[in-house]
Amino acid sequence: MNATLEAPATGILVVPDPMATDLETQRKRFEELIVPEMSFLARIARAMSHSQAEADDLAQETLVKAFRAIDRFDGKFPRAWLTRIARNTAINRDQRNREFLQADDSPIEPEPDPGEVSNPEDIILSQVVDENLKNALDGLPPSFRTLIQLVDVEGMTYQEAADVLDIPIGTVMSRLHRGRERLRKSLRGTTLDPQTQR
Amino acid sequence: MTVVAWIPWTRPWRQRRDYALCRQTLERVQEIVDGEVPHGHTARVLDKHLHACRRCGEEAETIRTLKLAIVRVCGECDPEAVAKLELLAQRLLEGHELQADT
Repeated sequence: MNATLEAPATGILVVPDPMATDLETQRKRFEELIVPEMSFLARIARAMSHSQAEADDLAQETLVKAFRAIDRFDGKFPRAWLTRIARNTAINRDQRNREFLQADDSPIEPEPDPGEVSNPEDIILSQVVDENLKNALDGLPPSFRTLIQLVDVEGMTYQEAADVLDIPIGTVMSRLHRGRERLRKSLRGTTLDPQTQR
Repeated sequence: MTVVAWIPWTRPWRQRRDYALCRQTLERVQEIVDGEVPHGHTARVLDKHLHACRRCGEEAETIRTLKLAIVRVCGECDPEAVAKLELLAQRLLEGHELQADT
């Protein structure tokens, strides 16, 4: 539908179609509120997916749904809104994601022995650690990865993350704890002792 | 535990207090690092303990370091994926919704 208000060659005054004007407004809102969040959408879709190809599909489906539903968006917190759409889309896509995103039924990791806990020095800023961390993150269930992405990378509070993922705040805390423990465990073998680096 | 442990400022009392504080701090260390402990007395006590206790301080530092590493690894996304999304958004704005959806 085109919302142009130009009078045709006949010279008869044309009353603007309210539906068309409305559509224009919605497109403008989409352009102003959602389009600047493409990087965020790509990151969050990656966190919710098992592969980049799956993430691309999820992000694109989410974007199309966001475009169609923009008239129902109140304009507040576009990131939270996009995350909700992406989460629901991921849940509806396949049973595997449904399990990961809705349930918290993965086995509880045993508490680390204080003697074994990786020290800050163990997680040295290095390419090797980054690569290991990337693999470890890929090995996490999407529910854990999404939460870590929202809290650690996107800077959401526990309450905000709980709201967008529709889970209790206690689940946010336990998933974060367990997710980070798994990451630490996977980095334990990659200790780069400063002495060996010399 | 002996009765002395309940008499303030004795050594056993201090040990008992420190042990309890360590447990409380370790239980909440994730919240502390994530800035989720509301400002107030508890936050001040836990923060003071984090600076005084080597074990608890190291635990907090490890989580902070891990968070930084996560930001480094997950903070950037595939530029190609973003470009695809921007292109799709453009097509949607131009009215190609159906084509984009199929």
